[in-house]
Amino acid sequence: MSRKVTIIGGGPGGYPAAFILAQQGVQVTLIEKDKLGGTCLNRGCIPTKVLLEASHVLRQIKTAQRMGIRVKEVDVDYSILRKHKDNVVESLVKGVEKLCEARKIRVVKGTGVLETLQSIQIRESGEAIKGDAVVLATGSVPAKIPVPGADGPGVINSDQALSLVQVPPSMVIIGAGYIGLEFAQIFHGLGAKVTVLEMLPQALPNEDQDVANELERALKQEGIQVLTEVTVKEISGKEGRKKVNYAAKGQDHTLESALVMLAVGRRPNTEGLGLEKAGVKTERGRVVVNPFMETSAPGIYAIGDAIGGIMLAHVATAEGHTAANHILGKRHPLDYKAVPRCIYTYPEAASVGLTEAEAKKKYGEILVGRFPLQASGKARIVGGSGFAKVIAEKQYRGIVGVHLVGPHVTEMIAEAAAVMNLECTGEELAHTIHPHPTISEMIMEAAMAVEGYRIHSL
Amino acid sequence: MATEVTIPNLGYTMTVAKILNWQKAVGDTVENGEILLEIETDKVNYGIESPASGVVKAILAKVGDEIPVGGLVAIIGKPDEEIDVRSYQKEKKEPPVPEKVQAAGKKEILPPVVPAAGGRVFASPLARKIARTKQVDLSRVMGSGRSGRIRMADVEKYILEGRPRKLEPTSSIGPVEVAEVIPLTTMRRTIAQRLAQSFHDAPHFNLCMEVDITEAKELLEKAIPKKAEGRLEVKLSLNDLFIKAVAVTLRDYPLLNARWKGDQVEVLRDINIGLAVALDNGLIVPAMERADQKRLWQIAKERIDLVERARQGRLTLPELERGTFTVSNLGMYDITFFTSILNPPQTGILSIGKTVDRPVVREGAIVIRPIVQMSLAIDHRVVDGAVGARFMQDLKQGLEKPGLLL
Repeated sequence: MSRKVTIIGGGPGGYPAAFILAQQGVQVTLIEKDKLGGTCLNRGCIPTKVLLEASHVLRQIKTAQRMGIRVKEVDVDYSILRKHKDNVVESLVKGVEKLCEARKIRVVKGTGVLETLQSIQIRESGEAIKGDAVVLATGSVPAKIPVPGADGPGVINSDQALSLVQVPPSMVIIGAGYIGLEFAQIFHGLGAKVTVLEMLPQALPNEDQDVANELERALKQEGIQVLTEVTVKEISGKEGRKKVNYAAKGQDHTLESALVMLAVGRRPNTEGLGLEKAGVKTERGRVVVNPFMETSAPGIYAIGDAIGGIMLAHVATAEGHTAANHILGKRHPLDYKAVPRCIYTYPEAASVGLTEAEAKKKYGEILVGRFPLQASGKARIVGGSGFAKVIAEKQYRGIVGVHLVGPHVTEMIAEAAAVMNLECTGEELAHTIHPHPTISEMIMEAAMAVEGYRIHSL
Repeated sequence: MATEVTIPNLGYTMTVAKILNWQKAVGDTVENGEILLEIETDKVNYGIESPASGVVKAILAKVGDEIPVGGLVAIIGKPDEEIDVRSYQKEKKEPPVPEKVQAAGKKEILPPVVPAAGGRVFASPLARKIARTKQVDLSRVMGSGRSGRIRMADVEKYILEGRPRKLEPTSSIGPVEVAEVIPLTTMRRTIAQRLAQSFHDAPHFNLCMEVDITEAKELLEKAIPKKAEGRLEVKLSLNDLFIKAVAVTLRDYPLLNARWKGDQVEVLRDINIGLAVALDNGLIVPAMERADQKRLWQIAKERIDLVERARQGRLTLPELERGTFTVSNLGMYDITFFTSILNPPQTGILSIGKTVDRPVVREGAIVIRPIVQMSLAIDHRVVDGAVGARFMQDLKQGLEKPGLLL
């Protein structure tokens, strides 16, 4: 008799885990209360990238004149753009459904609740699903802030921002993390007047300072206001005429806008799952797991945003992979050293590993190789601003962080992730032949700088 | 033309050699083939011969220095030849270092990373670099990455746990004073690493039995000592008979004459019996080639030669690396019974105790017989109990009726 595994949550953590298990002959039941694909496909990565792509194309059209391309009039029909976004999402969700079908995975629509260690109950139908192991992949929801008026009318989160029927004339976005910045550029591109408020001294507080500065500068240049070190005190007013009171350097200010968007992070979606009863330990809402994704309850695994940590789709996938492998008897602990992080603004930003400040703290002496985008031939052709930065620890010159800002860098960061995963030193990266002319050359050039020499920069 | 004297590569696992002593000093005349210096590797002490006749122009390594394979240690020249030693010291003392390493400032001695005998070592570039810098033989490091790939953390762990650490008082009854700190010799370190690894990796089990050697003793007593090539008088010992019996019996048990290689077992063609020889500062296991095909006298002659040269540190690397099965005898120390740790990557080791006259029952009567207790340690990954038991049974029969063996 084959083994049975139940997975709660069909997002980018749950469904890959289901596929890996099903391919090894495990009978998998995948419980999803909404649509397969989770936040990533339906409310996150994919739809935001459709909108950002539109804003990039629009920018290209507007700047095409430098190449002699004359464009008479450009405007955006937001209803068509929305439909396009929905079509992309729908086709991908269909794709996941097809793959589930082909792999003979039973997809159950409903909310799964842990009954006993081996049994899950579907809240809506009352059906009990038994199995040998359970994987919790319940994802996350947008977080809130304890500010008066934060749940009033006209205050939206990223889910609601994606389903707006029309573009608001103005918008205040609270939070300058990657979600806030991406939405700022989407709505700015579509014509809204956007202001971003950040409590901490730097936009993208968790990213390398150079990356944050470069993006902040580029966004401001486009006309997006980014205010850091401000404390939001109150949100008031009715929809269409919202007021945001905030303090900056001890002084109170008020901003008016049609809508306010909260982009203050996400929190694990673990409530009402029956965790406590099943003996699954949590810590401030996130499920506690070991490097094999095992929770404190035997046979119960948790992955993805539900366990907190780095809340990114590809991390959830890797965690799903780790949990599935462990269920199959293959013990490969997950190493988070080389997780790429991408921001799809213009210019794009992409990083892997430690920031310069983190590296300095961890290793003391480090080597930092930099290469400015302007020195790249291909960058002159496609335009844009940015840089590459390769950070190595000094003793062995092992690469501990790579940071990129510029066109297409989200497509390029996988190289750096591979190099870090394989534990390369600056030498290997500097001596990897990169194609010319490409923007990827700047990674090689920055690695050369780590090794003490340069070709196209001084 | 000046001739360079470098550290030769004496074997797969050799990365560095320690200078033990110099037989010659700067200015001495030396003949081609004359011993110039002695080095210590992880396996043997070895005399390096002068590659040319002439005068020792320069000595570039001190006693106690650890020099990587290929490293320059001396220069031999004609008596009247002018040699700029400094140019050698700068350019040649260290093996060529890649330019960019120098560009970044620090010069490092980078001995080559040696692969494990018979296999490629999969290790990350960073792991390799750390291993080179810290002179870690990667073939001894366990990899935790996918497919056993060695990662940085594995080398760091190896350095932390596999190397001697500073002695610090840990006892709660107060600090214990350290009388002496003994740095590990290369040999000690090798023994420690190999045996710890063997004990940890190979699931050992032991099979024990008693052998009545009445007839064997009679047989040996009848044998008259033979003169061998002049000075040495060869006398057959029980040990020679044990070696012969083990080697002949192994012919029927190829899995006991095999090596564990991680994902496969290599059955070896020749039966080379390793003899555990105790030294003042360690243990060494030279092996007798194809012992199953040798006459008892030949075995005796070779055993005496191997043991003598082992004590003098004059063994060759092939003699140390060719063993396929080991025999260890502690009979001379009054040990009646003991077990051994496998000598990796071998599958079996036979431990032989002292011959003791014991009362035994023969045909319903108690008689006194010379009895030897033996134990066979086996790597259970390769061989299961019944196979080992049958081997022991055959060995017992061979030793109790030695006429059939010879």
